Amino acid sequence: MLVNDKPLLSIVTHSPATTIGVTLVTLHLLNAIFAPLLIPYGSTQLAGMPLIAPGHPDFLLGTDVIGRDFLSRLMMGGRTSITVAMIGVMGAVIIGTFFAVSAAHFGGYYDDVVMRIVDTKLSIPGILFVALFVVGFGRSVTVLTIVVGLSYFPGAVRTIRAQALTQVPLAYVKAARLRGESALSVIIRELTPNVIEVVVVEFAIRTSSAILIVSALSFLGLGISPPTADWGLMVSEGVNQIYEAPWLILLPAVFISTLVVGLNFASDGIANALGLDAARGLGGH
Amino acid sequence: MGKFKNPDRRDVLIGAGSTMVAASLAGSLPMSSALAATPKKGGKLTYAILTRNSKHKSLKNAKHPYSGLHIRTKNVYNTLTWVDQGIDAQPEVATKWEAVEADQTVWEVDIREGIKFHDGRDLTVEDVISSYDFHRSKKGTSFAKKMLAKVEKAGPNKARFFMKSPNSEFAWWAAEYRQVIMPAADVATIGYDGVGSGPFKFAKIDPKRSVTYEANENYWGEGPYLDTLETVFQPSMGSAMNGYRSKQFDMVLSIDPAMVPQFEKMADTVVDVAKAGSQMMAILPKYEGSPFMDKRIRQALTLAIDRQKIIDIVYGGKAAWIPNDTHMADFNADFLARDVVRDVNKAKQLLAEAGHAGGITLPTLYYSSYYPEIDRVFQVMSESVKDAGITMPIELKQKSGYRKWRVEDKKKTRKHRFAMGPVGPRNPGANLFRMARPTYNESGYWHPNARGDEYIALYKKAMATGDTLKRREIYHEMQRILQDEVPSLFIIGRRTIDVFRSDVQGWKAHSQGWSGKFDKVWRS
Repeated sequence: MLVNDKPLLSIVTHSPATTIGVTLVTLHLLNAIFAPLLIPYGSTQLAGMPLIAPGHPDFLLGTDVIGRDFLSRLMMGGRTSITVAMIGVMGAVIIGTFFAVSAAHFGGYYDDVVMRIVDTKLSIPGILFVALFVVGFGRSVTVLTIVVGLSYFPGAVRTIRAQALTQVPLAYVKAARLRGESALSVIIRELTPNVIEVVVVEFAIRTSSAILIVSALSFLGLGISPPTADWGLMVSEGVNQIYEAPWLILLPAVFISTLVVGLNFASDGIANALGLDAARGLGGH
Repeated sequence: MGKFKNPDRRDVLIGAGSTMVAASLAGSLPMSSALAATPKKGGKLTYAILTRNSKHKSLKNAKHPYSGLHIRTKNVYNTLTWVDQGIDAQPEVATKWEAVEADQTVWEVDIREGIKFHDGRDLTVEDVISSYDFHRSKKGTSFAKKMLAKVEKAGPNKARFFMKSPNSEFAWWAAEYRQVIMPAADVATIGYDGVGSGPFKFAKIDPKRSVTYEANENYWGEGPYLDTLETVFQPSMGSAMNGYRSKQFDMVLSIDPAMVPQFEKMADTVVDVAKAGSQMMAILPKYEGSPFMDKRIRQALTLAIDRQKIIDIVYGGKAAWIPNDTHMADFNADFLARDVVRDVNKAKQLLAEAGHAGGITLPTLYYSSYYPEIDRVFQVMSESVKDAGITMPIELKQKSGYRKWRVEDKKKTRKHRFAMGPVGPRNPGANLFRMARPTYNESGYWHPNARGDEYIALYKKAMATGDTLKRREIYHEMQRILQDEVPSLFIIGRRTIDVFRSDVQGWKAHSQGWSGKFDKVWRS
């Protein structure tokens, strides 16, 4: 399979870091998909005594503060965060792409209005915006997904617009206009395919950040509600037991960081392999 | 005419020196040690609290007893009576109280002589009357507004209280933490100067965060022994724990039971468990279409909860108690324990009879962070009811604005959502009163209901009955009605746990957090 005229395998093995990143992300995604079939106990089931240490024959990674199997909760704990982050960021990137490319294409007042809205949103601290939104509209998965989308929309618009601006003066765009293609057709059929690599990388890198935000919200008690298994929530539930049962914090932290590091390695590596560093403002490896 | 003296140990306790006797009866090791040793004057004690009064917003109102940093008004103020660790009423500003009408509607109270306010003024009957005029005013406390008709002077040191309805447990009513005695002033200004007659005076206030008190050298009672007392609010158990470890605090009140093992491992630390504490209750909204309109579903739900499991998992098997679906605490001598604590088969049968043989999914039960362990309580409860085929989603709401929010949807839910509320432990009359008020949030809104009418009639009868044993029979009948009707769900009762350094003497964890007093606390 070719991407940008390069074999997919050569892209994902572009560097050791890329390979590690892609492997970590793949493992996490496979775990998130198949966890319900693999977990030894229900993720909310009161399976044993509280705070059993890891290494127990019945509970490989021990139990949490109310006696739930910690391995089962860890395996299930990424599903909600990953789903919320991916759907939210996907929405942000898809809608952001349309606004970014159209702003680059039309320029003028339309571009100014879009970019001033983006600037306004970017001036509000991210975690504050998310926290206020959740407090105002509730902490359901739908609300979290929407707020993640709104949070990452402006950043996506800015980056994708920068790439689109490099395409607008090119001859193929002018040719399309001269052929009489409509503005919508130029945006969707001509410009968008030529910014798609940036969009993909943008999606990957924003997803890793979104996973951290969702976990942070859960840790602060503003995200996913108990008893749902969620890594951020699990850290929060275990924080008072840091002296007695440090695994309650360390293990979910390891899961969060391996996914985020994996996403960052993978997205950086792929961007580097596709030669998109300049568009993303990165210096490359 | 029924003088308020029950034929039990209260008779012995009311009178001079009775607070010390009560402390001995409470019988804890720290208190016993304190009595055995000679109290030493001086030093400072800093204690952390995990909940605060949301009204403590600015210096303008921070000294008022209704808006102090927390409900421990006893640091600065006195009430007519005090409820001790055994939940017996003890004299404070009042030295004696007596019902002068057989129906318990009129009470005469002797006011202690020699009490001085912090500004040097003598505390008089006029101050008592003025304070209660405020408490029963529009801005006053719920208890006083609902129960007190008027107060008048009945002698140089005697006040006469006219209750709106009989109240055979006047002495406990008079101990309510906000019903403090303040220097006489008009209703609009009384209390804002922070002048009380308690063992400590306000010294420094950092709104929402901390209050420092200094000793009242002219205190009328024993103590205070500490020179300085400081209260610091901590937003989480973790920060309170770290503050204790780093010696920022000498004491943490009402800790998370899950932290007990950690505190027990610390050197020079005492973990003290009170006889009881607050309950967690849930209103079962009753409106057309609500599953809780069906009594069988209410009964099934309470039978399905594995309360013993909550105690074992969340409270280490000891620091909690099983409620009986009334506001009564298990330390009340009139508490009527449940016949059956849990019966999953019966719960299933009731659900089947109600047309839910395959199980039922209830609306989301909301709760807020009133207690540090509350998340775990609700998770264990939600999981345990699954055994009976009940799916009960739960959701934690932010504490800010929660109280208003849970009673907001008046039209649809008859004033209340399916949501948790905290219930403080009080005397039987106050406990059972809550279900006798059809419009009260915590009544469960079970009216109109024939058994509700029967319950209210029994409550009125009990309040007019001076004899303790006769009252107990009535109280038991009232509890049987509530256990059958289940107007509200009482999930678990907690036992308050305080931790403090072993050189802190004279402190004993109190079931009523607001009634703990620092006047006799000292550092060895």
